[in-house]
Amino acid sequence: MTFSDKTIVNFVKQHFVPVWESVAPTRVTTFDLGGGKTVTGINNGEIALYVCRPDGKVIDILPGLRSPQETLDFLRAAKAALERTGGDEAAVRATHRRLLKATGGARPLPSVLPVQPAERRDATDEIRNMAKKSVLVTPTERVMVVQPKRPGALRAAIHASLSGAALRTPDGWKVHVFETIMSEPLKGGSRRFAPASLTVR
Amino acid sequence: MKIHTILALIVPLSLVMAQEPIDKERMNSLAKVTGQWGGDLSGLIWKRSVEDAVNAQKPLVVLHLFGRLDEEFC
Repeated sequence: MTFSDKTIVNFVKQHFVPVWESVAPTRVTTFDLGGGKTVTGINNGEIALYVCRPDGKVIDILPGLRSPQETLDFLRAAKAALERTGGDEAAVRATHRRLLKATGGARPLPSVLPVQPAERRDATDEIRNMAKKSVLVTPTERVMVVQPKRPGALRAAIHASLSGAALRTPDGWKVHVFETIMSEPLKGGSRRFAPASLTVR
Repeated sequence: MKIHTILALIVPLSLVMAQEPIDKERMNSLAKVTGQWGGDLSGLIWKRSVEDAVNAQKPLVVLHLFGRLDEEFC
């Protein structure tokens, strides 16, 4: 529980105003494996953390659930950058250009599973979403999906985005961050896929 | 098995079961105030929108998530 960690709580209390906003309801995805067996995942683990100027304009973004230490390191670095630049738009872009260069530049985000024919795209996208994270799959039981793999690539994508765009609020970034960078559709509710969705013909 | 052994096994369980609705009610009330399920008054007090949080001095930390932070199993 990152936001119950005493060090993080004290740091945030001292230096920031904390805000949460729901981007969509949690999503429950069930794959029917046939023969009465199902795999169900609760896709609620993906988050994004934005550090903003007091006027609500984003200066840095941490995509995906991270360890308390990583989260604290990110908050400390973002606070230092904010103090150094005053949140000046050109300086924010320059900072992310420098960080992008330091990470070796933007690379295509790696795929976990190969692309499937269009008619199976929905199911494939969904299971790819689950497979990108540390997910324990137990037939017929619900599992919680958390922790992105590829944290470096996600941060590089953030630096690439923030180095070339005008400052926006978190609401202005959410579709890009969740759907483009994290491949996480901003859709909640229940989805069920028939046995044919994962079989070969 | 002796009676005090049986009681020792049963009583804590019944106490936990009896306390659960009260604790949950308390958790709900606290979550409404703090904005965080499982949070307490010594922890973070979350605002629910950027518009409410905008101010002249302090920067913001904004958490975007699926579900709600003030609900169990979010």
